[in-house]
Amino acid sequence: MSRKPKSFFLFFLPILSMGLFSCSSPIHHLEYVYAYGTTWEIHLYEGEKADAENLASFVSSSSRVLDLDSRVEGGIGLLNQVGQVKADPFLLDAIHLASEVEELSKGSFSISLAKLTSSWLTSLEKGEALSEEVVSSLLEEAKQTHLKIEGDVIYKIGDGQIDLGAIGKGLCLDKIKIKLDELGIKKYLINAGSSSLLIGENSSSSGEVKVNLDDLKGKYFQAKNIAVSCSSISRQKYEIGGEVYSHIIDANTGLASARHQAAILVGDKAGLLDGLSTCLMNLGESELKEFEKGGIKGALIDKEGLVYASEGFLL
Amino acid sequence: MQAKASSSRKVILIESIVLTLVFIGIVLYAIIFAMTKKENASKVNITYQGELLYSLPLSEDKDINIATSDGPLFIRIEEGGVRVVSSPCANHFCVNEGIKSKSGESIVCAPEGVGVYLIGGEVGEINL
Repeated sequence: MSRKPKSFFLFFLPILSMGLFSCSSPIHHLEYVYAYGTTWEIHLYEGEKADAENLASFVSSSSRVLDLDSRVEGGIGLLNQVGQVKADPFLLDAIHLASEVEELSKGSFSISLAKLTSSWLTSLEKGEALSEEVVSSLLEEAKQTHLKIEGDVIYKIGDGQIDLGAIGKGLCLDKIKIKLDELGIKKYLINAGSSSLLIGENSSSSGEVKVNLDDLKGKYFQAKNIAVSCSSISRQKYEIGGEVYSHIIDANTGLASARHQAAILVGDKAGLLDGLSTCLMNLGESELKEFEKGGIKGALIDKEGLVYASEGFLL
Repeated sequence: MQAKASSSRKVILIESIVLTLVFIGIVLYAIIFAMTKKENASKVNITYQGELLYSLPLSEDKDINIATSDGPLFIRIEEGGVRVVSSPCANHFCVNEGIKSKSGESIVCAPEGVGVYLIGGEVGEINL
Protein backbone atom coordinates (compact mmCIF):
# COMPACT_ATOMS: atom_id res chain seq x y z
CA MET A 1 0.00 0.00 0.00
CA SER A 2 1.47 3.42 -0.87
CA ARG A 3 1.75 6.15 1.73
CA LYS A 4 -1.09 8.37 0.54
CA PRO A 5 -3.91 5.76 0.70
CA LYS A 6 -2.55 4.62 4.09
CA SER A 7 -2.74 8.18 5.42
CA PHE A 8 -6.28 8.46 4.17
CA PHE A 9 -7.14 5.19 5.90
CA LEU A 10 -5.55 6.26 9.18
CA PHE A 11 -7.01 9.73 9.39
CA PHE A 12 -10.42 9.47 7.77
CA LEU A 13 -11.57 6.04 8.91
CA PRO A 14 -12.15 7.14 12.52
CA ILE A 15 -13.96 10.27 11.41
CA LEU A 16 -16.10 8.28 8.99
CA SER A 17 -16.90 5.69 11.67
CA MET A 18 -17.89 8.36 14.19
CA GLY A 19 -20.08 9.97 11.59
CA LEU A 20 -21.80 6.68 10.83
CA PHE A 21 -22.52 6.04 14.52
CA SER A 22 -23.92 9.53 14.97
CA CYS A 23 -26.19 9.30 11.96
CA SER A 24 -27.72 5.90 12.68
CA SER A 25 -31.42 6.08 13.57
CA PRO A 26 -32.82 3.09 15.42
CA ILE A 27 -36.49 2.31 14.88
CA HIS A 28 -38.83 3.96 17.38
CA HIS A 29 -42.52 4.24 16.59
CA LEU A 30 -44.36 6.16 19.30
CA GLU A 31 -48.10 6.64 19.53
CA TYR A 32 -50.15 8.30 22.25
CA VAL A 33 -53.76 7.49 22.95
CA TYR A 34 -56.14 8.65 25.69
CA ALA A 35 -58.15 5.67 26.94
CA TYR A 36 -59.28 4.07 30.19
CA GLY A 37 -58.98 7.46 31.84
CA THR A 38 -55.30 7.96 31.16
CA THR A 39 -52.74 8.61 28.45
CA TRP A 40 -51.10 5.55 26.95
CA GLU A 41 -47.68 5.47 25.30
CA ILE A 42 -47.07 2.80 22.71
CA HIS A 43 -43.35 2.41 21.99
CA LEU A 44 -42.39 -0.05 19.29
CA TYR A 45 -38.70 -0.52 18.53
CA GLU A 46 -39.42 -2.91 15.66
CA GLY A 47 -42.06 -3.23 13.00
CA GLU A 48 -43.89 -0.49 11.15
CA LYS A 49 -45.48 2.78 12.19
CA ALA A 50 -48.82 1.32 11.10
CA ASP A 51 -48.41 -1.40 13.77
CA ALA A 52 -48.19 1.23 16.49
CA GLU A 53 -51.14 3.13 15.00
CA ASN A 54 -53.24 -0.05 14.87
CA LEU A 55 -52.45 -0.83 18.49
CA ALA A 56 -53.44 2.70 19.50
CA SER A 57 -56.68 2.29 17.60
CA PHE A 58 -57.36 -0.99 19.39
CA VAL A 59 -56.74 0.59 22.81
CA SER A 60 -59.22 3.32 21.95
CA SER A 61 -61.95 1.01 20.65
CA SER A 62 -61.63 -1.48 23.51
CA SER A 63 -61.88 1.29 26.09
CA ARG A 64 -65.23 2.35 24.65
CA VAL A 65 -66.58 -1.16 25.26
CA LEU A 66 -65.80 -0.84 28.99
CA ASP A 67 -66.61 2.86 29.30
CA LEU A 68 -69.58 3.29 31.67
CA ASP A 69 -70.72 6.41 29.86
CA SER A 70 -70.49 4.94 26.38
CA ARG A 71 -73.48 3.42 24.58
CA VAL A 72 -71.38 1.48 22.11
CA GLU A 73 -73.02 -1.71 20.88
CA GLY A 74 -72.17 -4.71 23.04
CA GLY A 75 -70.61 -2.52 25.71
CA ILE A 76 -70.97 -2.21 29.43
CA GLY A 77 -72.78 1.13 29.20
CA LEU A 78 -75.70 -0.54 27.42
CA LEU A 79 -75.61 -3.52 29.78
CA ASN A 80 -75.99 -1.23 32.78
CA GLN A 81 -78.67 0.85 31.11
CA VAL A 82 -80.82 -1.87 29.55
CA GLY A 83 -79.99 -4.90 31.69
CA GLN A 84 -78.90 -7.15 28.89
CA VAL A 85 -76.62 -6.98 25.90
CA LYS A 86 -75.28 -9.11 23.09
CA ALA A 87 -71.76 -8.68 24.32
CA ASP A 88 -68.73 -7.47 22.46
CA PRO A 89 -66.06 -10.24 22.69
CA PHE A 90 -63.86 -7.87 24.70
CA LEU A 91 -66.62 -7.41 27.28
CA LEU A 92 -67.11 -11.17 27.53
CA ASP A 93 -63.38 -11.68 28.06
CA ALA A 94 -63.39 -8.97 30.72
CA ILE A 95 -66.20 -10.66 32.63
CA HIS A 96 -64.46 -14.04 32.51
CA LEU A 97 -61.26 -12.42 33.72
CA ALA A 98 -63.16 -10.71 36.52
CA SER A 99 -64.44 -14.12 37.69
CA GLU A 100 -60.89 -15.40 37.76
CA VAL A 101 -59.74 -12.42 39.83
CA GLU A 102 -62.68 -12.78 42.20
CA GLU A 103 -61.81 -16.43 42.78
CA LEU A 104 -58.10 -15.77 43.33
CA SER A 105 -58.78 -12.87 45.67
CA LYS A 106 -61.32 -14.93 47.64
CA GLY A 107 -64.11 -12.38 47.33
CA SER A 108 -62.05 -9.21 47.76
CA PHE A 109 -62.93 -8.17 44.24
CA SER A 110 -66.31 -7.15 42.90
CA ILE A 111 -67.46 -5.81 39.55
CA SER A 112 -70.79 -4.46 40.78
CA LEU A 113 -69.51 -1.55 42.86
CA ALA A 114 -69.94 1.15 40.19
CA LYS A 115 -72.66 3.09 42.08
CA LEU A 116 -70.77 2.88 45.36
CA THR A 117 -67.49 3.98 43.72
CA SER A 118 -69.17 6.87 41.96
CA SER A 119 -70.95 7.99 45.15
CA TRP A 120 -67.73 7.86 47.12
CA LEU A 121 -65.75 9.89 44.57
CA THR A 122 -68.47 12.53 44.29
CA SER A 123 -68.61 12.82 48.06
CA LEU A 124 -64.82 12.89 48.55
CA GLU A 125 -64.43 15.60 45.92
CA LYS A 126 -66.75 17.71 48.08
CA GLY A 127 -64.61 16.97 51.12
CA GLU A 128 -67.11 14.64 52.76
CA ALA A 129 -67.23 10.95 53.59
CA LEU A 130 -70.29 8.88 52.70
CA SER A 131 -72.59 8.06 55.58
CA GLU A 132 -72.68 4.51 56.94
CA GLU A 133 -76.30 4.20 55.82
CA VAL A 134 -75.53 5.06 52.22
CA VAL A 135 -72.50 2.75 52.18
CA SER A 136 -74.53 -0.15 53.62
CA SER A 137 -77.38 0.37 51.22
CA LEU A 138 -75.22 0.60 48.11
CA LEU A 139 -73.01 -2.29 49.22
CA GLU A 140 -76.05 -4.50 49.76
CA GLU A 141 -77.39 -3.52 46.34
CA ALA A 142 -74.00 -4.42 44.81
CA LYS A 143 -73.96 -7.80 46.56
CA GLN A 144 -77.41 -8.58 45.20
CA THR A 145 -76.27 -7.86 41.65
CA HIS A 146 -74.82 -10.53 39.44
CA LEU A 147 -74.50 -11.51 35.80
CA LYS A 148 -75.92 -14.43 33.84
CA ILE A 149 -74.24 -15.38 30.59
CA GLU A 150 -75.98 -17.36 27.87
CA GLY A 151 -73.72 -17.74 24.86
CA ASP A 152 -72.75 -14.18 23.99
CA VAL A 153 -75.70 -12.54 25.72
CA ILE A 154 -75.16 -11.11 29.17
CA TYR A 155 -78.01 -10.42 31.58
CA LYS A 156 -77.61 -8.17 34.60
CA ILE A 157 -79.67 -9.31 37.57
CA GLY A 158 -80.12 -6.68 40.27
CA ASP A 159 -80.02 -2.90 40.55
CA GLY A 160 -76.28 -2.46 40.98
CA GLN A 161 -74.09 -1.24 38.14
CA ILE A 162 -71.23 -3.21 36.64
CA ASP A 163 -67.77 -1.65 36.41
CA LEU A 164 -64.80 -3.47 34.94
CA GLY A 165 -62.39 -0.55 35.21
CA ALA A 166 -60.17 -2.44 37.65
CA ILE A 167 -59.13 -4.94 34.99
CA GLY A 168 -59.76 -3.05 31.73
CA LYS A 169 -56.26 -1.71 31.16
CA GLY A 170 -54.68 -5.02 32.02
CA LEU A 171 -56.94 -7.00 29.71
CA CYS A 172 -56.21 -4.54 26.92
CA LEU A 173 -52.48 -5.13 27.48
CA ASP A 174 -53.03 -8.89 27.30
CA LYS A 175 -54.70 -8.46 23.91
CA ILE A 176 -51.88 -6.19 22.75
CA LYS A 177 -49.35 -8.85 23.76
CA ILE A 178 -51.14 -11.36 21.54
CA LYS A 179 -51.06 -8.92 18.63
CA LEU A 180 -47.36 -8.18 19.16
CA ASP A 181 -46.57 -11.90 19.20
CA GLU A 182 -48.49 -12.35 15.97
CA LEU A 183 -46.49 -9.51 14.40
CA GLY A 184 -43.23 -10.98 15.66
CA ILE A 185 -42.40 -7.76 17.52
CA LYS A 186 -40.28 -8.41 20.59
CA LYS A 187 -38.90 -4.94 21.35
CA TYR A 188 -41.60 -2.71 22.79
CA LEU A 189 -42.86 -0.86 25.82
CA ILE A 190 -46.54 -0.15 26.36
CA ASN A 191 -47.17 2.26 29.20
CA ALA A 192 -50.78 2.68 30.35
CA GLY A 193 -50.62 5.75 32.55
CA SER A 194 -47.58 4.54 34.53
CA SER A 195 -49.77 2.11 36.47
CA SER A 196 -49.88 -0.79 34.01
CA LEU A 197 -46.96 -1.71 31.77
CA LEU A 198 -46.18 -4.27 29.15
CA ILE A 199 -42.42 -4.50 28.82
CA GLY A 200 -40.78 -6.38 25.98
CA GLU A 201 -37.08 -6.28 25.27
CA ASN A 202 -34.79 -3.36 24.60
CA SER A 203 -31.33 -2.98 23.18
CA SER A 204 -29.41 -2.76 26.44
CA SER A 205 -26.97 -5.58 27.15
CA SER A 206 -29.45 -7.17 29.57
CA GLY A 207 -32.49 -6.38 27.42
CA GLU A 208 -34.15 -5.11 30.59
CA VAL A 209 -35.86 -1.89 31.60
CA LYS A 210 -35.22 -0.40 35.02
CA VAL A 211 -38.49 0.33 36.82
CA ASN A 212 -38.20 2.83 39.68
CA LEU A 213 -40.83 2.91 42.42
CA ASP A 214 -42.22 6.34 43.21
CA ASP A 215 -43.70 4.93 46.43
CA LEU A 216 -40.37 3.52 47.61
CA LYS A 217 -37.58 5.92 46.66
CA GLY A 218 -34.30 4.29 45.82
CA LYS A 219 -35.85 0.91 45.12
CA TYR A 220 -36.36 -0.55 41.67
CA PHE A 221 -36.63 -3.76 39.74
CA GLN A 222 -35.42 -4.86 36.32
CA ALA A 223 -37.96 -6.15 33.86
CA LYS A 224 -38.29 -7.61 30.40
CA ASN A 225 -40.94 -9.72 28.68
CA ILE A 226 -43.31 -9.13 31.53
CA ALA A 227 -46.44 -7.29 32.59
CA VAL A 228 -46.45 -4.91 35.54
CA SER A 229 -49.35 -3.49 37.50
CA CYS A 230 -49.25 -0.94 40.28
CA SER A 231 -52.08 0.23 42.50
CA SER A 232 -51.25 3.25 44.59
CA ILE A 233 -53.08 5.88 46.58
CA SER A 234 -50.19 8.30 46.93
CA ARG A 235 -51.59 10.59 44.25
CA GLN A 236 -55.27 9.79 44.62
CA LYS A 237 -56.07 10.15 48.28
CA TYR A 238 -58.27 12.43 50.32
CA GLU A 239 -57.71 13.34 53.93
CA ILE A 240 -60.97 14.16 55.68
CA GLY A 241 -61.38 14.47 59.41
CA GLY A 242 -58.05 12.79 60.06
CA GLU A 243 -58.99 9.75 57.94
CA VAL A 244 -57.39 8.87 54.64
CA TYR A 245 -59.73 7.87 51.85
CA SER A 246 -58.90 6.71 48.33
CA HIS A 247 -60.40 5.70 44.99
CA ILE A 248 -60.07 2.02 45.98
CA ILE A 249 -63.27 0.58 47.40
CA ASP A 250 -63.00 -2.39 49.75
CA ALA A 251 -65.48 -4.94 48.34
CA ASN A 252 -66.08 -6.42 51.81
CA THR A 253 -66.77 -3.24 53.77
CA GLY A 254 -67.78 -0.77 51.06
CA LEU A 255 -65.32 1.77 52.46
CA ALA A 256 -63.13 3.94 50.25
CA SER A 257 -59.98 3.12 52.10
CA ALA A 258 -56.89 1.09 51.51
CA ARG A 259 -54.73 -0.72 54.05
CA HIS A 260 -51.59 -0.06 52.06
CA GLN A 261 -49.99 2.79 50.16
CA ALA A 262 -49.10 0.77 47.06
CA ALA A 263 -49.12 -2.74 45.65
CA ILE A 264 -46.94 -3.74 42.72
CA LEU A 265 -47.24 -7.04 40.89
CA VAL A 266 -45.33 -8.50 37.95
CA GLY A 267 -46.17 -11.60 35.92
CA ASP A 268 -47.35 -12.90 32.58
CA LYS A 269 -50.98 -11.80 32.58
CA ALA A 270 -51.54 -8.05 32.77
CA GLY A 271 -55.30 -8.38 33.28
CA LEU A 272 -54.93 -10.65 36.26
CA LEU A 273 -52.25 -8.41 37.76
CA ASP A 274 -54.44 -5.35 37.26
CA GLY A 275 -57.29 -6.86 39.28
CA LEU A 276 -55.11 -8.50 41.93
CA SER A 277 -53.00 -5.40 42.58
CA THR A 278 -56.21 -3.49 43.39
CA CYS A 279 -57.38 -6.24 45.76
CA LEU A 280 -53.99 -6.44 47.40
CA MET A 281 -54.38 -2.87 48.60
CA ASN A 282 -56.81 -4.25 51.19
CA LEU A 283 -55.19 -7.66 51.66
CA GLY A 284 -51.82 -8.57 53.11
CA GLU A 285 -48.52 -10.37 52.89
CA SER A 286 -50.09 -13.82 53.12
CA GLU A 287 -52.27 -13.16 50.08
CA LEU A 288 -49.28 -11.94 48.07
CA LYS A 289 -47.45 -15.13 49.01
CA GLU A 290 -50.44 -17.10 47.71
CA PHE A 291 -50.24 -15.19 44.41
CA GLU A 292 -46.54 -16.09 44.21
CA LYS A 293 -47.54 -19.74 43.81
CA GLY A 294 -49.04 -18.74 40.46
CA GLY A 295 -45.76 -17.23 39.26
CA ILE A 296 -46.57 -13.66 40.30
CA LYS A 297 -44.03 -11.53 42.15
CA GLY A 298 -44.53 -8.23 43.84
CA ALA A 299 -44.26 -5.82 46.69
CA LEU A 300 -46.55 -4.25 49.28
CA ILE A 301 -45.73 -0.77 50.50
CA ASP A 302 -47.12 1.27 53.39
CA LYS A 303 -46.46 4.94 54.12
CA GLU A 304 -43.80 3.78 56.59
CA GLY A 305 -42.06 1.78 53.88
CA LEU A 306 -41.83 -1.73 52.50
CA VAL A 307 -44.16 -4.27 54.07
CA TYR A 308 -43.14 -7.25 51.99
CA ALA A 309 -41.43 -8.03 48.68
CA SER A 310 -41.06 -11.32 46.86
CA GLU A 311 -37.60 -12.79 47.13
CA GLY A 312 -35.16 -11.18 44.73
CA PHE A 313 -37.79 -8.85 43.33
CA LEU A 314 -36.52 -5.46 44.45
CA LEU A 315 -33.02 -4.12 44.00
CA MET B 1 20.29 -2.96 3.43
CA GLN B 2 19.89 -4.29 6.94
CA ALA B 3 19.37 -0.73 8.18
CA LYS B 4 16.66 -0.25 5.56
CA ALA B 5 14.88 -3.47 6.62
CA SER B 6 15.07 -2.50 10.27
CA SER B 7 13.67 0.92 9.48
CA SER B 8 10.81 -0.69 7.51
CA ARG B 9 9.95 -2.97 10.42
CA LYS B 10 9.88 0.02 12.75
CA VAL B 11 7.49 1.88 10.45
CA ILE B 12 5.22 -1.17 10.21
CA LEU B 13 5.21 -1.48 14.00
CA ILE B 14 4.36 2.17 14.49
CA GLU B 15 1.59 1.98 11.93
CA SER B 16 0.18 -1.15 13.59
CA ILE B 17 0.14 0.56 16.96
CA VAL B 18 -1.55 3.62 15.52
CA LEU B 19 -4.17 1.48 13.75
CA THR B 20 -4.85 -0.44 16.97
CA LEU B 21 -5.26 2.79 18.93
CA VAL B 22 -7.59 4.18 16.28
CA PHE B 23 -9.67 1.00 16.43
CA ILE B 24 -9.87 1.11 20.25
CA GLY B 25 -10.86 4.77 20.04
CA ILE B 26 -13.69 3.99 17.62
CA VAL B 27 -14.98 1.19 19.86
CA LEU B 28 -14.85 3.39 22.97
CA TYR B 29 -16.62 6.20 21.15
CA ALA B 30 -19.34 3.80 20.03
CA ILE B 31 -19.86 2.49 23.56
CA ILE B 32 -20.01 5.96 25.13
CA PHE B 33 -22.25 7.23 22.34
CA ALA B 34 -24.64 4.30 22.72
CA MET B 35 -24.85 4.74 26.49
CA THR B 36 -25.48 8.47 26.47
CA LYS B 37 -27.81 8.34 23.51
CA LYS B 38 -30.18 6.11 25.45
CA GLU B 39 -30.02 8.05 28.65
CA ASN B 40 -30.49 11.67 27.56
CA ALA B 41 -33.74 12.56 25.92
CA SER B 42 -33.62 14.72 22.83
CA LYS B 43 -37.28 15.64 22.58
CA VAL B 44 -40.29 16.33 24.70
CA ASN B 45 -43.87 15.50 23.75
CA ILE B 46 -46.59 17.44 25.52
CA THR B 47 -50.12 16.13 25.49
CA TYR B 48 -53.38 17.58 26.72
CA GLN B 49 -56.23 15.13 27.29
CA GLY B 50 -54.39 12.58 25.16
CA GLU B 51 -53.88 14.86 22.17
CA LEU B 52 -50.32 15.63 21.21
CA LEU B 53 -49.95 19.42 21.35
CA TYR B 54 -46.21 19.91 21.03
CA SER B 55 -43.19 17.87 20.06
CA LEU B 56 -40.16 20.02 20.82
CA PRO B 57 -36.40 19.60 20.96
CA LEU B 58 -34.82 19.85 24.40
CA SER B 59 -31.89 21.68 22.86
CA GLU B 60 -33.81 24.97 22.69
CA ASP B 61 -35.02 26.76 25.82
CA LYS B 62 -38.71 27.53 25.58
CA ASP B 63 -41.74 28.40 27.69
CA ILE B 64 -45.04 26.66 26.94
CA ASN B 65 -48.42 27.68 28.27
CA ILE B 66 -51.20 25.08 28.24
CA ALA B 67 -54.67 26.57 28.67
CA THR B 68 -56.42 23.92 30.76
CA SER B 69 -60.04 24.22 31.83
CA ASP B 70 -58.86 25.29 35.31
CA GLY B 71 -56.33 27.83 34.14
CA PRO B 72 -52.86 28.05 32.62
CA LEU B 73 -50.23 25.38 33.18
CA PHE B 74 -46.68 26.55 32.47
CA ILE B 75 -43.97 24.24 31.21
CA ARG B 76 -40.36 25.30 30.72
CA ILE B 77 -37.69 23.65 28.60
CA GLU B 78 -34.25 24.68 29.79
CA GLU B 79 -30.73 23.29 29.96
CA GLY B 80 -31.68 20.10 28.13
CA GLY B 81 -34.53 19.28 30.47
CA VAL B 82 -38.15 20.13 31.10
CA ARG B 83 -40.23 20.97 34.16
CA VAL B 84 -43.69 22.15 35.10
CA VAL B 85 -43.26 25.64 36.51
CA SER B 86 -46.81 26.18 37.71
CA SER B 87 -50.16 24.44 37.52
CA PRO B 88 -53.73 25.25 38.53
CA CYS B 89 -54.10 21.79 40.09
CA ALA B 90 -54.61 21.50 43.83
CA ASN B 91 -51.78 19.16 44.80
CA HIS B 92 -48.88 20.39 42.57
CA PHE B 93 -47.32 16.92 42.31
CA CYS B 94 -46.37 17.84 38.75
CA VAL B 95 -44.50 20.97 39.87
CA ASN B 96 -42.74 19.06 42.63
CA GLU B 97 -41.38 16.53 40.11
CA GLY B 98 -38.73 19.07 39.23
CA ILE B 99 -36.66 18.92 36.06
CA LYS B 100 -36.58 15.80 33.91
CA SER B 101 -34.08 15.09 31.17
CA LYS B 102 -33.83 11.34 30.59
CA SER B 103 -35.51 9.37 27.86
CA GLY B 104 -38.57 7.61 29.24
CA GLU B 105 -39.18 10.07 32.07
CA SER B 106 -42.47 11.86 32.28
CA ILE B 107 -44.39 14.41 34.30
CA VAL B 108 -48.14 13.94 34.41
CA CYS B 109 -50.63 16.40 35.82
CA ALA B 110 -53.61 14.07 36.06
CA PRO B 111 -56.16 16.63 37.35
CA GLU B 112 -55.45 18.90 34.39
CA GLY B 113 -54.95 16.11 31.84
CA VAL B 114 -51.48 17.29 30.85
CA GLY B 115 -48.66 14.88 30.08
CA VAL B 116 -45.00 15.72 29.49
CA TYR B 117 -43.03 12.84 27.99
CA LEU B 118 -39.31 12.75 27.27
CA ILE B 119 -38.26 10.73 24.29
CA GLY B 120 -35.15 10.23 22.24
CA GLY B 121 -34.48 6.60 22.00
CA GLU B 122 -35.45 3.42 23.73
CA VAL B 123 -36.93 3.75 27.17
CA GLY B 124 -34.34 2.25 29.47
CA GLU B 125 -35.79 3.48 32.72
CA ILE B 126 -39.32 4.18 33.86
CA ASN B 127 -41.06 5.38 37.04
CA LEU B 128 -43.99 3.46 38.45
